[in-house]
Amino acid sequence: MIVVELGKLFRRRRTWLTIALLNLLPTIVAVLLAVTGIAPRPGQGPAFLSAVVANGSLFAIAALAIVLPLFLPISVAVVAGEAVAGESQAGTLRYLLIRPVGRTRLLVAKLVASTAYVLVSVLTVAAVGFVVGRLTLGNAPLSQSMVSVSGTLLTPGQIAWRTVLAIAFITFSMLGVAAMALFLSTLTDSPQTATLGALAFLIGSSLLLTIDAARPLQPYLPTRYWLTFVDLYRDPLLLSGVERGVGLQAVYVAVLLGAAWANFATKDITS
Amino acid sequence: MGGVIRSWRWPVVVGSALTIAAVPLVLRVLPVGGEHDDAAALLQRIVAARGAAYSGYAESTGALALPVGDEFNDVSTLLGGRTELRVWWRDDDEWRVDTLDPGGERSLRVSPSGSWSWDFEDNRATRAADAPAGTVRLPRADDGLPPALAARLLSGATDAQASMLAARRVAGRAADGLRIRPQDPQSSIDRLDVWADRESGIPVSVEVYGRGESRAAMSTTFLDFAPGRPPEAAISFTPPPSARVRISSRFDLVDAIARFSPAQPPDVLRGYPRQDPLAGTRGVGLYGSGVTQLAVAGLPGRRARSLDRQLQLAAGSHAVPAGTAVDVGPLALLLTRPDRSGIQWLLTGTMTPAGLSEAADELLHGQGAPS
Repeated sequence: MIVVELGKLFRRRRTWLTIALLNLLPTIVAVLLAVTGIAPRPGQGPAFLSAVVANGSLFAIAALAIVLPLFLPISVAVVAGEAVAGESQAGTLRYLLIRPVGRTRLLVAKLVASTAYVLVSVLTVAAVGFVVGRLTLGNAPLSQSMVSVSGTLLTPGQIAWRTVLAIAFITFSMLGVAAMALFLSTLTDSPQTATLGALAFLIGSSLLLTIDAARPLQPYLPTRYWLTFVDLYRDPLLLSGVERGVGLQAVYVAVLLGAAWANFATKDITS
Repeated sequence: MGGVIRSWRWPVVVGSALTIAAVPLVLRVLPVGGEHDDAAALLQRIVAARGAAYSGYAESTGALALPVGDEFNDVSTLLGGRTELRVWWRDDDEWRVDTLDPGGERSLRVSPSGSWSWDFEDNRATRAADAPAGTVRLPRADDGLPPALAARLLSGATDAQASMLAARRVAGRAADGLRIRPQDPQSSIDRLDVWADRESGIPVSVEVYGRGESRAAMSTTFLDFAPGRPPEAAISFTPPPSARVRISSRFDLVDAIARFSPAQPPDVLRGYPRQDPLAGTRGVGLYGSGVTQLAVAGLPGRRARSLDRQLQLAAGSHAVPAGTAVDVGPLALLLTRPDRSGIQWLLTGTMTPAGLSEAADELLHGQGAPS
């Protein structure tokens, strides 16, 4: 069942088109930076973007920071929002469930497919960002140390495992979006409604993060810790924000997937 | 049977969600226990812990919207916004404080031989000579740390002003609470709430309230905290090869006023003796201690006129007989009209508006001696 769902997802042209579009914006940014040499002023623009002009390899991380606030969650919400509601809209959900397949197993398969999409998207953005960054913004030897956010030098080995941690953290953060879209996907027959619902939830969270009056709520907002992956490039390593982010996302994922399971397992399937 | 199986799913999910949501709430209201009941002893403990070593991660929040331009951006953010700080404090002469931004970091590392400041996004390292304690300077990120803020504001506190507050968990550790209510009628601070780590006595959370305000004008608290001496390696710094390295002269606007002000503030103002000025900083006068502090400087005409225009446009600005005043919570600013020698005095501090006006009157009536 899982293999079937993965095959369906990655055989779709739309999936790869979404991933290509996801990579388009960082590529445009890298080319513009290379052509003009004008980086954002310190403290402005996405994380690491003011530093990539000096080190093209950093663009892998900058590319993730560019797509993380909006484009990555949109693509994840589109794919996960379609998981159940798309089958329902196409009238194929009934036929899927006629097979000797339990609803919980089908939901797990959809969840695994969404997770795989998140992982492939994040890895692709990092890889394309790395290649584009080195091609356009400078290809210093890979054995060269990188300056950490704190001004000390990180060895290539340290950079590698910290980047693996950053990719894992961003992937896990996106699972919260996938879980929300998947839950909404079990509530409606319209994939667009599920996607927009998940995005409304995230936009609301991002908005509340900018309002001081909402401060007591902020530690519990799903987008609160997304950008703390930057802490993985500080020296000494700062893990408290990342740990809080992982804990918060784990709660959202558990509760939303639980709700998706409770609803889908008891739902009347009419289409 | 199927209906029974179906019926338990939603209650299980909703129950689990409510349980998870309740955990932080329960941890917050859970009594800490083993509280001190002697405010004077706790005050002594906090004072004794001054300069003790620690490390941690703190968040400071100010509600003071300062009417200042871009050149004082760091100060206005510190006093009027949220600042995330990471600190390693070996002793008062050797420490590191990082100001964390979502995409970067500004770090200040101080050692007996001098200081390094590092700005990641600007790729710039700046070396500065050691600044003697008591040097007149603008507020910096490290001033917003709970131990530093408590040390500054508790410097004149007495046992009679102290009372106990309920203990709290701060950064997951038991912390005893102390409230200081100043009895100085000229102070604009209504109360100061300090929670000190039970194990070390180091202040881990501080809230400052202005008179008549229910919301803290400034609060700072540790989210992670560990008493004990951090390793030297966490503080040492060598500029990375690609960085732009500068040698700072430490010469900013405050230095300029301190050194070249056309007048010297008086030795006594509103009954407060002037703190001993360091050599070369006689142009700025500092008065008071603890929760009542006042800084005074004489400004030359062109600078004063520019500041006057800025203050008149600021929210909360109003004319007083002595000049133009701005009240920003418990922090008050007043720029006098020119005195007989053409000098305009800038007064700022934690004094009531009435106290500040009276101090301005005292200056205008010739107490400040032209240098």
